[in-house]
Amino acid sequence: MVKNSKDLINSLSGYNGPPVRIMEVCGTHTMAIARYGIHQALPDGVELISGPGCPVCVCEPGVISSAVRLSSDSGAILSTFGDMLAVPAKEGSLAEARAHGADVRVVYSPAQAVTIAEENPDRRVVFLAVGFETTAPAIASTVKMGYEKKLSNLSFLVSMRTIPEALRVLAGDPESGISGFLLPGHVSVIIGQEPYQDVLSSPSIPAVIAGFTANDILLALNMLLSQITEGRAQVENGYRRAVNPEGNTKAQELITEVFTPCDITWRGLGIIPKSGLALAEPYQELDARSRLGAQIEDEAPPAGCRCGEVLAGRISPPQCGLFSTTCTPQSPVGPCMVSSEGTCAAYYKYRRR
Amino acid sequence: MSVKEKHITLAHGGGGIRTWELLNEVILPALGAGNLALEDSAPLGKLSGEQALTTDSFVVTPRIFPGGDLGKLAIFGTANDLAVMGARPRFITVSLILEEGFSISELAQLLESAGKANQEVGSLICAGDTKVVPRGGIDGLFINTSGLGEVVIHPQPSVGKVSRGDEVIVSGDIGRHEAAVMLARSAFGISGELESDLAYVGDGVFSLSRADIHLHFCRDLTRGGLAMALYEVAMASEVGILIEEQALPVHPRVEGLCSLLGIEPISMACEGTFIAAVAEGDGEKALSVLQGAGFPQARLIGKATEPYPGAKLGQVRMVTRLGTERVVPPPLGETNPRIC
Repeated sequence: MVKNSKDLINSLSGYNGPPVRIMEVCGTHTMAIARYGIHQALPDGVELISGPGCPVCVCEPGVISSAVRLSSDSGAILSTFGDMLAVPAKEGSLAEARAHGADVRVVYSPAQAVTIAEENPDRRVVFLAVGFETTAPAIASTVKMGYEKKLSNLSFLVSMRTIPEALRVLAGDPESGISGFLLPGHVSVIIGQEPYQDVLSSPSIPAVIAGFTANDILLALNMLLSQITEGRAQVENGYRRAVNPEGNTKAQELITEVFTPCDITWRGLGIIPKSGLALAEPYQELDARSRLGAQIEDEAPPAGCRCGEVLAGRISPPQCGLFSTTCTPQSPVGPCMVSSEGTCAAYYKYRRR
Repeated sequence: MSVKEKHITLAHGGGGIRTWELLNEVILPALGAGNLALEDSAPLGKLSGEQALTTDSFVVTPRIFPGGDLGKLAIFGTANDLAVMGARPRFITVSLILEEGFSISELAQLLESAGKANQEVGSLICAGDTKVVPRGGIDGLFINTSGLGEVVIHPQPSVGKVSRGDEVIVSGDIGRHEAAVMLARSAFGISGELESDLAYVGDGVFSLSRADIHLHFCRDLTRGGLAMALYEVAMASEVGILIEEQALPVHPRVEGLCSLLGIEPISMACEGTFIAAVAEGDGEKALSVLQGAGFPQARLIGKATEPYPGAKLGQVRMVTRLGTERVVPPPLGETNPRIC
C-alpha cells in the first residue's frame, strides 16, 4: 500500500532508538531534502548529513586548472556541463577563461562535443568529463562515437568516479559516525543493488536506495530507521519502480568497455583506490593527457575553504568560516557553493536563517 | 506599394524616402497607426490627473513562440507595467532596431500582432523610430517602447505599501512564459508545445479597484518570477512573506520541465500573470472578483507577516507540501537570457 507523506512523517516521529546520523550521497537528494524541508520533519536524534554526492564538488581542482590551460593557452574549444564553469581553481575558473576570450561551451549532452568537433575540423575540441555512474554511459557512448568516426581533433579530459568505493571509505571512517546511508537512486538505476553489498558488509551499515520525491525520501528514511531499530544492516531497495537489483546491464557493459577502474583523488576524501574511471584500450588515444599532453597537478584547496570536510560529512556548511560571508553562490570560493547540487548551495538557498 | 524588397536594407534606416516608404507602407499600417502625423514628436494635448511613465526593451528569442510573439509582447509588456501601478495605458511609443536583411514580411507580421494587442489595451501608438544596423550588429529585431498612463487607482498601489496581515493573491499559473520560450528554443534538447501566458492584465487589476478592494501592491511577474516580486515587497515594505506551496498554481508541463532541470517555477517569468497584496479580510472577495474577470486560476497564496529575525534574503518563506517551512531562495538572475 502506498502511504502518503503525513503517514510517513508520523511513523518517522515514532522513532525512539539511539541518535543516528544518516548520510545522503547524491546531490539531487541534497537539493530535494532541502526543498521539501525534510530536516524539519525529522524527530529529535535523527540527523541527515550530506556526503560526496555532487560530482562537480568532489572533482579535484587540478582538473579545472588543466581545463583552463587547455582552453586559454592551447586555444582548444573546451566543452563541459554548465555546473563546471564557475568552479574556482588555481588557474581561475572556466567562466573567467571564457570572459577573457577562451572558447568554453556549455553542453547539455556529451554527444554535443562530437558535433562541435565535426563542425570545427581545424580546431581541437576537449570534453571535460565529470560525473558518476549516472553520466558514465552517455560519456562512454560519446567516446565510442569519437573513436569510430576517427575524430583526431576530439579528446576527453576525464575525471569520472564511481560511488561504491567511496562508501566503503566513509563507512570505515570512525570519525564520521555514520549510522546509515540513503543510497543514490540515479546511480542505482545503472549499477543495481549488488555493488553496495560488498562495500557495506564490513563494517555492516544499513543502507536504502531512495528515489527523489518527498515520499520516496521519507519512505527510505523509514526503512533505514526500521533497520536500525531492529538491529539489521542490509542494503534495501526503496526505489523499486526505477531500480532493478541487477541494474541496467547494457549501460554497465558500455561503461566496462570504454572505461577501466583507476585510483583517483576525491576532494575531502583523498585518493580512493579503484574509485575512478579512466579510458580503456583502445579508447585511451582520445585521452587529452596523451593526445594534448594535458597535465593534472595536485592543487591545494582555496585558503579557508572547508568543502573537503563538508563532503566527508565532518562539518555542516555553517561551520565553515567562509559560509555566506566570503563564499556565496554569487561569488563562490569552493565547489560546494558553486554547483546547483552542492551541499553549501542547498544550505545557503533553503536553510539559511 | 513601392517597398519592393523582401528584406530590410541599410537604406530603410537612412531617414530618406526609403524610410518614409517603409513607415507608410509597412510599419504604420501594420501597427494600426496609419493616421499618425510624421512629426519630430507627438503632441499629446492637455493631460489631466496623475500620470505614470514606463519604458522597456524587448529582445525575446525566438521572436514567434507558442502563445505570442515579439510584437504582442512589446505592447502587453509595456501596458502591464502601467496597469499594475494602477495606471490605464494611454500612449505607447514603439522604436525598432532592425538588422540589415531582416524579412519585411516577418516585420509586418510582428507589427500587426503589436497593433492588435494595442487595440485590446485601448492605448494610442503615438511615436516611434526606426534604425537599421549592419548585418551581425544585432539579432534580427529589437523593440524599445515607452508607455504613459493615467493613474486611476487611488491610493496608488506601491511596493512599499504592504503591511502585516495583507493577503497575497496570484492571478494565474506561474512560470509558463519562460518555460514556453525554453521549449520553443528546444534548449536542453527538450521540445514540446506549451503556450506562454502572455496577456494584458489590466482588466484584472482594474476589476479589483472597481470592486472596492483595498489594493496595496500589484506587480506583473516577469524576470525573476514570483520569488523576486515577493522579495521586492518584503524588502521595500519591511515585512516577511509566508506562502503555501500547495496553493501555487503550476501547469503540469511547467512542473515537469522544472523537475527535469532542477529549477523552480517560482523563479520563472510570466508575461500575463500578476500578484496583488490586498488588505487583510479582502482576500476572498478579491479572489472571486478576479476569477470572474477572466482569471479563473487566481489563488490566495499567502500573507505578509512580521519580518523574520535574521537575514534579509530569508524574508520570503514557504510552507511545503509536507507542512515544513523553508526559505524561498531569491533568484540570482543566472537563468535564461532573452526571454522577453
